[in-house]
Amino acid sequence: MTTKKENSSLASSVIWTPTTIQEALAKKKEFGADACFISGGTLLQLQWENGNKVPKNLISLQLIQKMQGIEVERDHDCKVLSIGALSTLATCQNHSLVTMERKLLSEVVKHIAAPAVRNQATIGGNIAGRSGDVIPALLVMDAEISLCNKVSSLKKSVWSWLKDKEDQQDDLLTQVHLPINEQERNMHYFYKKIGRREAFTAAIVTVAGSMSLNELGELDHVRLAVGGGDNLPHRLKATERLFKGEKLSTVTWKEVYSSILKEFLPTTDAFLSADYRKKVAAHIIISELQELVFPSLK
Amino acid sequence: MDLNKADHVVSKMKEEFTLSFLVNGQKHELPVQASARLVDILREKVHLTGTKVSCGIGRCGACSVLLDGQLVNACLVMAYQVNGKSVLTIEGLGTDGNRNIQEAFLHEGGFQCGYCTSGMIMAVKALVDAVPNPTEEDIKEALSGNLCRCTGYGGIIRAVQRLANGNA
Amino acid sequence: MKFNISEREGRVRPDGMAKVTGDLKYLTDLTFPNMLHGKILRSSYPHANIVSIKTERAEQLPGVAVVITHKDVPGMNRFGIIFPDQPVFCEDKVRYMGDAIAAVAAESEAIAYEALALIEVVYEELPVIDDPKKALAKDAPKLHPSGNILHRATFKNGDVSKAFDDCFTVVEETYELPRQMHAYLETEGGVIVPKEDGSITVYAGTQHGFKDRFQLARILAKPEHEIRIISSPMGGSFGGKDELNIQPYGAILALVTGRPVKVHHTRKESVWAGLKRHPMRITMKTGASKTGKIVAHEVRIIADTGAYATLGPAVLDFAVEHASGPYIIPNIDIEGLSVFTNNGVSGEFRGFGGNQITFALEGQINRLAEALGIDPIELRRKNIRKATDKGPLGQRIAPSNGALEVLESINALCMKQKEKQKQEPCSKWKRKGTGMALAMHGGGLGFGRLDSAGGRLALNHEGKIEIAFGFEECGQGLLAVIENIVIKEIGCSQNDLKIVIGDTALVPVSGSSTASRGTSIVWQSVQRMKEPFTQKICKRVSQLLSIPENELILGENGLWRVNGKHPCMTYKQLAQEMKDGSPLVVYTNFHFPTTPDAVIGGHYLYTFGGVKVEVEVDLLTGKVKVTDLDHVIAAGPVISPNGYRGQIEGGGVMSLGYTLMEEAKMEGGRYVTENFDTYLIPGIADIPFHTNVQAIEALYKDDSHGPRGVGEIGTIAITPAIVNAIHDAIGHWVQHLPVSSEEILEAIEVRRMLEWT
Repeated sequence: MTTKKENSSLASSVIWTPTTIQEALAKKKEFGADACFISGGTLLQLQWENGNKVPKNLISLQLIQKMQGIEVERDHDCKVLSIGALSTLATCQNHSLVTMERKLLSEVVKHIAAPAVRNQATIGGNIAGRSGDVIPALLVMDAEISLCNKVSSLKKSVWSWLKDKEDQQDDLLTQVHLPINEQERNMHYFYKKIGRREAFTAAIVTVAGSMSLNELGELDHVRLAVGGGDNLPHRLKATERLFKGEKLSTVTWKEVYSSILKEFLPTTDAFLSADYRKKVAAHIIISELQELVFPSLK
Repeated sequence: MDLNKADHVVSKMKEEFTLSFLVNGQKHELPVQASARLVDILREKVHLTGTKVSCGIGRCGACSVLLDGQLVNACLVMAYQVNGKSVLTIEGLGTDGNRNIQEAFLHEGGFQCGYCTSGMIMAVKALVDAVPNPTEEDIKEALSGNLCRCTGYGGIIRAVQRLANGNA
Repeated sequence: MKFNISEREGRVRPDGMAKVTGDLKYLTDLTFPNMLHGKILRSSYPHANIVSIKTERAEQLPGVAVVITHKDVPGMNRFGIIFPDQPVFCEDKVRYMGDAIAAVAAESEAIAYEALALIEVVYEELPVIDDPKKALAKDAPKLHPSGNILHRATFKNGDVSKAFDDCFTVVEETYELPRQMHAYLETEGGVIVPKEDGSITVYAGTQHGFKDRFQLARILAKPEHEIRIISSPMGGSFGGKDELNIQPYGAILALVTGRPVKVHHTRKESVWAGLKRHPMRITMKTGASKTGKIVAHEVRIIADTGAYATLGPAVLDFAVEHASGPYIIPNIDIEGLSVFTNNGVSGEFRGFGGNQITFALEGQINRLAEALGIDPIELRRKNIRKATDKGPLGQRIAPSNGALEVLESINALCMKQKEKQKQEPCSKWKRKGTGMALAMHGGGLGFGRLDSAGGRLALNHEGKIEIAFGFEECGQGLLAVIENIVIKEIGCSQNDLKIVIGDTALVPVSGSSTASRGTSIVWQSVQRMKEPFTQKICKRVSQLLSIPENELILGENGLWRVNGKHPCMTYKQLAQEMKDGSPLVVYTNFHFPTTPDAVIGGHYLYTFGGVKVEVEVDLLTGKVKVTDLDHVIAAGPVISPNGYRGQIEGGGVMSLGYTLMEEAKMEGGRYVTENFDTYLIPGIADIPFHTNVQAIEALYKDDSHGPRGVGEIGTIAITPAIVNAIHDAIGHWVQHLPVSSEEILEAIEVRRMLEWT
């Protein structure tokens, strides 16, 4: 046993406390791979305990005002709920603007970790790890994130950010934006996280979906996303296409089922196989869509 | 963006810095490492051993304390994150004479070995501060991060329900 | 959550206030001046020869006081409660990842860790035996000189093969049970403090201080009287701290450095080195007549005992003994093997082999019922033991009607549950099911095992009635049991009482705080001591006050004259009076009640438990949730209502975890689950808020053994009951634990319960 207390090297780390995004980026540039951003630090500390190397420099974001706060902004014709990346998960769960405007996010966050962790962990940290349970929900909400790097700052959809492997780790995620459209009022959303225990556990699989029915009774705006645990979150684009212009009564569920099994490529671990995860994702998605037309007792 | 200029103003905490914070209302100024865990500071420097360590990774809740009124795992909070803040530990709870939560735990068998109890009681404190009459769902959510291996949670649930019914 | 025993007395447990205020000092909370921190280097491989160990670089690290290895063990470099076969420090070979190679004492924990990393150990890897099947293969390397079989236990009666031929139905099944972690919240640890005269005080949790003293004396080559063990309180144990853990390392480090040394495992270290529940593979073949009379039962048990013996042999004996449980089966053939592997060491764990064997047995009964088309409760009724039947090994036991009483209560609860279920519509994507199971559990160590019991009762010099036992408070509520029994039997009040436990310098021999024996022994000891003690006191007071002895009674605050309004002499006054005289003290020691029949390991006092459970199976995920849980327990009178209920509820949830989620998984001799992020124990969201405990308090007529301990009985029936309920919900029998949601989902799909699959 290389019995080394896994976080003992933490003692020799330097902690930097910049107050602006620019300062934080400058520090990251200065130390490169020998530094990482840290906000709540709950996930990082778990990773360090599990053997990941502790960087020599930790750039704490907690004093950066610009990454805090939750507000409704106007972006052209659209209303957007903008959430500072440093907002804790607890804030995302309980903030009145979130519960009023994007209740799904509040629901989702409730299933992440436990209260003590949610009081410390930030939404930025959950997303930046690229496998956070919040991501599938962001995907179906068409969320965008603001990213800053040393040369520019840009807004990007979460979906394209995930796909774009070129993004440097030096990018700092500063805000999350959730569109609030009028048509949203008719949208149906679902989110489920399945773990090995009822609460406070890593996800076996996380699924999220959104859809609406147009006046013809056809499915519209179907967005489906999967992720959770070590599964890379992504949209199920091919499966989504199966619903285009379909009425729920004409959907071939067997086809949907096999499409999801084909499109979702989860991981296997010591406890559960990829095959199982696929099936669970498929079953949940189908049941949720069916509930839309044939609601049963929950 | 002037990178060089930025460099000058970023504060740096290395090795020891003087941590200034309140523990149970008392001010402490302690030389500690910036990355030291709050739980170790409480146990070893402030000599309050009521806050326990069990998993060390924020997965059991034995080290739960309130930080500026919010429940946190003291094993996941680093010294620099506590600077200027106020910590309430189990030792500080009830010193104002209100021991309702503790009384409820005593009468309902809310503990056995007692090792999770400090953290559990702090989690209950956070719950009833926010929701005086919690439902079953509220209790499950609020205490989901605190593991107890002895009671099977029965006594803990009864203790919370007793509080809600106001007969602590 | 109901309990049929109302709170008869409002007393809170004696250690309660200190626990809810955070004031209680656990032994791992202690610090001493000039204290060093110890850390132990464990093996890097599950099986390897040690080629060399170099400690020089570690020794030179500033802040390191000493580095020790096998060369520094003064006495016998071995420990183990039954056979001392586990090295304190390995000399030339490691047999599991928890094997210790060296230990360091340093000025801080951080330095100690740094030093461990500087110890250079060269290994030569050996093939890893990570499954008992591999260990039993003909060409398997021998893990110990005597081979790979630690223990073989058998029991036979009648002629099984002939009986099977005559059976109408035979059910055969193999059951597999996982390695469960005790997961006490306080990991192993403590402080060892040396004195100038060469003696040491060991402040470290254990379930049997005198046993630790005995084992440490052998290791340290010291007389026992130079070793004092302070072993209480503990943040949970559940059997896991009965064996030595950090004590030998701390003790040697303290003796070598002459300074107090604290060793406290991190969770990961605890997982690597600590004991677990035995994984078992159990094959049962059970046959019955057409009318449901069970006539033949063949059982084969293979237990993975890991690298060393500890209590492995006794656990296997217990499983063999309980293989037919509360049922009378005329033809029986049971054989168990406890097998060494390079996996984590298995040892004592609440339930002690009973959980595994009862899961299999009750599974058989339920499958038989299905095969015969007989109601499972009716099938049990046909085969259940009568009060005066002999025990499962043919030995005489204390008569009890508990089995049948529990069965009938469970039956009533099941009928109620099914009524309720009919009325409550279930979601489209869920199925509900009801299940039940019974358990029978022996208390005490069993025939042929030294099972000393005893206690001491005195009026001490402070004027307190002082009762002392060699037991430990692990959380189980022993202090409350002692307090309640003494107050009731002696007549004094809570304030008059001083309880002394957990310190070998101060307590008499009572045996180990295990095997559900504590409550029994306390009650029996007090029965034996109360008369002589009362007589002694009354006699003395009678002499002092010239009041006839028979007019004096012990009461609150002192001795009272019958019909008196105040004590005629307080305990304090009496203590003052006898300052110079001989002390008022009585002792008792006796052997825990055992069967008169020479059946090794056979028990005499049994308790009975039953569980009715409702589950909800999620058809979309295969996940199982327990939604309703009732326990019925027959273990004699309830001494401490909160403690009793807590033991049953807590034991039940511990086994709910065992059934549905807990597995200390190993791959190639290495733990996959090293902390609570992957080793999942039930949280508050996993348990049914509807949990009731029903105690059947009546004992069989003329039973003189009093209340039985309930530390284990609540953990046993729940597992087969849940599996029974799953079958009720979806028609699938589970034989492998923990229940795999993947397996359940497959069963759901096979049954076409989801239209799109």
